[in-house]
Amino acid sequence: MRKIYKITLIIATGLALVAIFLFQDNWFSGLLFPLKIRTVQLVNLPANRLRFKVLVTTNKKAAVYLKYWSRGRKDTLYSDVSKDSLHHTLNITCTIANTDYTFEVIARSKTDSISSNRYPFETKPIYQATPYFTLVSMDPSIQKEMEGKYFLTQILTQPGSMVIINHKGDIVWYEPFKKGVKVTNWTPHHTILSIVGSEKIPSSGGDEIVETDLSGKMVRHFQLGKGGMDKMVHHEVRYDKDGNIYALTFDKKVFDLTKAKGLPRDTVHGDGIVVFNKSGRKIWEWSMLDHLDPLGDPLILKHKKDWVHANSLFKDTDGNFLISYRDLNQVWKVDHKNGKVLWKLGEGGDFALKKDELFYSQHAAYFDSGHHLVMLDNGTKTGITREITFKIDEAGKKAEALSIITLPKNYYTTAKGNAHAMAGNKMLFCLTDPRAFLITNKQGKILWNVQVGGDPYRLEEIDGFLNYKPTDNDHN
Amino acid sequence: MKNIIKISTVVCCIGLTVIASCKKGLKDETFSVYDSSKLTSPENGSQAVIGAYAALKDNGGYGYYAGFLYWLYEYPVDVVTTTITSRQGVQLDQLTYDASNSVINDVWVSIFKMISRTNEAEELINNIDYAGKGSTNTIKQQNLGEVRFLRALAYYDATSLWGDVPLILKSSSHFTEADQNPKLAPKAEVEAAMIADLEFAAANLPDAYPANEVARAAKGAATSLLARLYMRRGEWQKAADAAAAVMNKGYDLRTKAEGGLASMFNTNNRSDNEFIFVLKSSNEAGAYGINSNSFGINSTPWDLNRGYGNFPIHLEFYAQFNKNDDRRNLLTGSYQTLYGQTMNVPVEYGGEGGSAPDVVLAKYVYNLKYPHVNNYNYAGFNNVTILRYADILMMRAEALNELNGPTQASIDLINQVRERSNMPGLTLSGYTKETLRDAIFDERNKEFFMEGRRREDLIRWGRSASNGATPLLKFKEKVVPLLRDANTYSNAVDYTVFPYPQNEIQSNTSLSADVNKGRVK
Repeated sequence: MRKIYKITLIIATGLALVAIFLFQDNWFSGLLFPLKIRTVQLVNLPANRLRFKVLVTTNKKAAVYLKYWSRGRKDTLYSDVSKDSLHHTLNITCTIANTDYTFEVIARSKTDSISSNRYPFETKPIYQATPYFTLVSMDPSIQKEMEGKYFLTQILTQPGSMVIINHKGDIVWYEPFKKGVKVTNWTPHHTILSIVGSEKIPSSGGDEIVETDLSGKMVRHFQLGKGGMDKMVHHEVRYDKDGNIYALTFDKKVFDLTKAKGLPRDTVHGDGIVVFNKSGRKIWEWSMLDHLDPLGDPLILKHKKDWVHANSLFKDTDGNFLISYRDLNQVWKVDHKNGKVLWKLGEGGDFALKKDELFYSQHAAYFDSGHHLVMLDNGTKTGITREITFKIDEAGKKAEALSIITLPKNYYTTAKGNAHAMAGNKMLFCLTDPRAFLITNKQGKILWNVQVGGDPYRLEEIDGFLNYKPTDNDHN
Repeated sequence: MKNIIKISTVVCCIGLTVIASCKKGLKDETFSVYDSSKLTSPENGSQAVIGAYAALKDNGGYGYYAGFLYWLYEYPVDVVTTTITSRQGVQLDQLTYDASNSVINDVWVSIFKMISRTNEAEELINNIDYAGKGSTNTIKQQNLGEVRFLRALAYYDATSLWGDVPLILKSSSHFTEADQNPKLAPKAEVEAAMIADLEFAAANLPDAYPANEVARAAKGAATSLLARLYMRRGEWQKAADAAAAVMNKGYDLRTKAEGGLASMFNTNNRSDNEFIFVLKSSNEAGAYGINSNSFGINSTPWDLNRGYGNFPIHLEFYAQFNKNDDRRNLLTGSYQTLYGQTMNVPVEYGGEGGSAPDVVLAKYVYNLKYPHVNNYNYAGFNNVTILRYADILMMRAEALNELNGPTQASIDLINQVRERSNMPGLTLSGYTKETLRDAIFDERNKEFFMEGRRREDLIRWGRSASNGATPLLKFKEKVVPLLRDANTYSNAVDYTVFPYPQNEIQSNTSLSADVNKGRVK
C-alpha cells in the first residue's frame, strides 16, 4: 500500500515538473504547443481611403507582419513588422483606390512560422485633396525598369496633400491637409518632410513643418511662433546628414534707401537659411540681407517686397549651402561656418559661362551623387525649359555644362518645377504650368508622361517605400 | 504490480493531456472589423462640449432642468403644490410617491444621460491634439473644465436626490463587465469626485466668455457650485471661502435702478450679470421638445395667460411677505383674468381682497419668475436659474453665522439682498446664532422660491438646527401641516432621499430588490 502512495507521489511530482517545463517558452513547449494568432482586427481609417491598420494578438511573443495583394493579381505586398510582442499594430500603406484586397497575417517565433486565415478589405474612391494623375504614355523600352518605382509629389493648393504615385500614375498613398502642402522631401527614415501653409502664403511658403510617416503619424511638427520657429519657411525643407532640419526663411532688414529714392528707414524683404535640431530648436541662421547691398539693385524699390526670391536650398557634402536665387538667375554657395558667400554661379557670377549655359529663373539646384550640379532652367528669357547638369571646379571657378536636356516648347513652365536625375542616364521632370511629369533620356526623348489634374511643385523618385518581405532573421 | 504500472501509465497519459489542453486552450483566431475615430479635430471637441450642455434639458420640454428636476425639488416641500390633475405631481406633493413614479425615473435617466455625455466628451477631448491642430491647449483645458463642471452638476443633483448613486467617470469604451451594472457608490465618494471635477473646472475655466458665447460655464459657476456642495456637507469655512472667491468677479445683484429682482425674470433681461449659470432656451415655435423649457406654460394659470397653472403656491407663503417687498411682485397677487374679472389674494393673506361679481378671491398664487408672455406656444424661453449671485451672498452669510454666530459681515451680506428688494436692513443686535439662522432661511425662501432651492434648504436647516441629528426637523415642521392627510408622513421614511426608480432596479443587477427600504412608505 505504501508503494502505491510512493508511486502516486512520483507521478504527481513528474506531472508538476512537466507542467512547469511546458509553460515556459522553450523548444520543447514550442514543439508541443505552437504559436497561435488569437485575434485579428481590421481597422478602417475613415479619414484615409487607402490606408488600413490591422491589430493582431498572438499567444506568445512573436514577430508579426501582413502579406496583402489585390484580388486576382500576383503582386504581393508586405506591411511593417512588429517584433517581440503579444500585441501588434500593422499598417497597410500601399494600395490603389477602389480595389478589393486580401490579407493574411504571418507570425514567427524561433520555432514556428504560421499564417492566419485570409481576410478581405477594400479601398474606397479618393475624393479628397488629390487630383487625378493620368499616364499618357510610357515607352516600351523602360516599361520593365519602371515597375516597382514610386514617386513623391504634393498638391500645393488647398486642400493640399502629400501624394505617392506608382509608375502608372496610380495614387498608392496620400495624406490630406486642410492647408496646402508646399514642398515635400523623402527622408532617409522613409518619412515625408514638408512645408505646410495656407494658399495665401506666397512663394511656396508655410507656417508649419510637418514630418509624416507612412502610417500617417505626424512624427515631427514645428509651428510658427512655437519652439524655435520664429519665421515662416518657404520652398525647401530637408534633413542634413547630422539629422538636423534646414529650410529657407523669409527675412527682412531695415536699410537706408534714400540714394535709391526710398525712405531713410526702408524695409527690404529677402531670404535666409535656418537650421533646426530635431526638437525644433533653432541652431543656425543666415540672412542674405547681411551679404548683399540693396543699393546695388537699381530697381530695389520695386523689388524690396521680395528681393531676389530664393527658391531652393541644398546642403552639400562639405556642409556648405547651395542656394538658388530666381530673380538673380544665380546659384550661390554659402559657407556654413561663417556665413560668407563662397561663389556665385550664373549671369554676372564668378564663373565664366557660355551663352547657352546661362539659366533664367532656375529652380531646384542640387548636387547629384557624382557631385554634379543639377538644376531646372525654367528659361524665362527664351521660353524653353531645360535641365542643365554642370561640372563645377569650385577652387578654379570653372563650370561647364556636361549635358543640357531641352524640352519641347509646350513643356515650358514659367515658375516652379524640378529636374531630378534618375539611374540609367534618365531625367525626371516636374513641370507645373503644363501640369506634367516627364521622364526623358539624355537626348530629351520623352519616355514617360503623366498629366496631373492639379498644381504639383516637385517630383522625386523615392526608395524604400515598399516594405520588403521580412527575412528569416526577422523573428524574435 | 502490473496493475500499478498500468494505472500509473494511464494516469500519466491523462495528466499530460490535461496539462497540454490547458496550455493550448480552445479558442481559435477571431476576426473583426471596425472604424477608427473620425473625431480628431478641436472642432469636434467643441461640438462634444455643446452636446454636453444640451443634456441640461435632455430633449427639451420637461426634461431635467427644463422641468422635471424642479418637480422633485419643489413639489415635496412647502411652497409649491400641484393641481389635482397631475397624478405624478400629486404623488410628489403629498409624499405618496414610490419607485414607479415616472418623474423620478425621468430625472434619473436625464442625469445619467448627461453624465454619460460628459464622460464621452472628456474622452474625446483628451484624445484630440488641440495645439497641433490649430487650436490651443488652453481651449482644450477649458473644454475639459466645461464638461467636468457639467458632470459635477449632474452628480450634485443625483446625490441630492438619491444619496448613494453609481459613480461612472469613464467613457463606455472603457467599460468593464462590472460597469454595465454599476454598484451604488457611497455619497462621500461621489462628492470627492465632484470636488476634483469642480476644482479642475475652477482652475481651467475663463473668468468670462465673449458676448456671443452665452450660457457657458465660467470659473464663477464652478466655484459657486463648489460653495453649494460645501454648504450641503456642512463644511462652513470652505463654503464661505468658495463664496468669497466668486465675489468681486464681475457678478453683482441686479440693482433697484436696473429694475430690481422682479425685472430680472423678464424675458427681455436674460443676460443680467446676477446670473452665474442658467439654462437658456429658445422661444421659437418649433423649439418645444428640442430646445425649450416647460416653466412658462406650467407657471402661468389659464385665466391669466392660458397656462397650465401647474405650480400653484400656497396663500400662506404670500402672507409671509411685507407689502413693500419687491419680491412679492413675482407672485400673482392681483391680476385681470381673461374673463374680465380681477383675481385678488384675500385680505387675510395680505392681499387686496374684494367681493363678487368684480373680484374673484384667489385660492392660490402663481410665480412670475417664468413669465409666459410674448409667445403663445409651448416653447418657454425663460432663464432657468441654476446659480445666481444672491445665492452666493446668502450662502456666505449662512456659513459665517454657522462658524462664528451673528457678525456684522453676515448681516451686511443679507442686507444687500434685502435692501435691493426695498426691505429695511437687519441689525446685528438681538440675534443669536439660532435666530439669525432662521432669519436666513426665511430670507432664502422669499428670495429663491420656485428656483429649486427649497428642499435642500429645509434639509440643511434641519441639520444645522439639530446638530446633524434630525435632518428632517424643519422639513417635517413645514410640510406636514400642508399635507391633505397628515398621516401620510411616516417617521420611518427618509425623505432626504428619493426611491431609486423601478426601471433602474430592474435593469441594473447590482441593485437588490430591497434597495428602497426606508425610502418609501
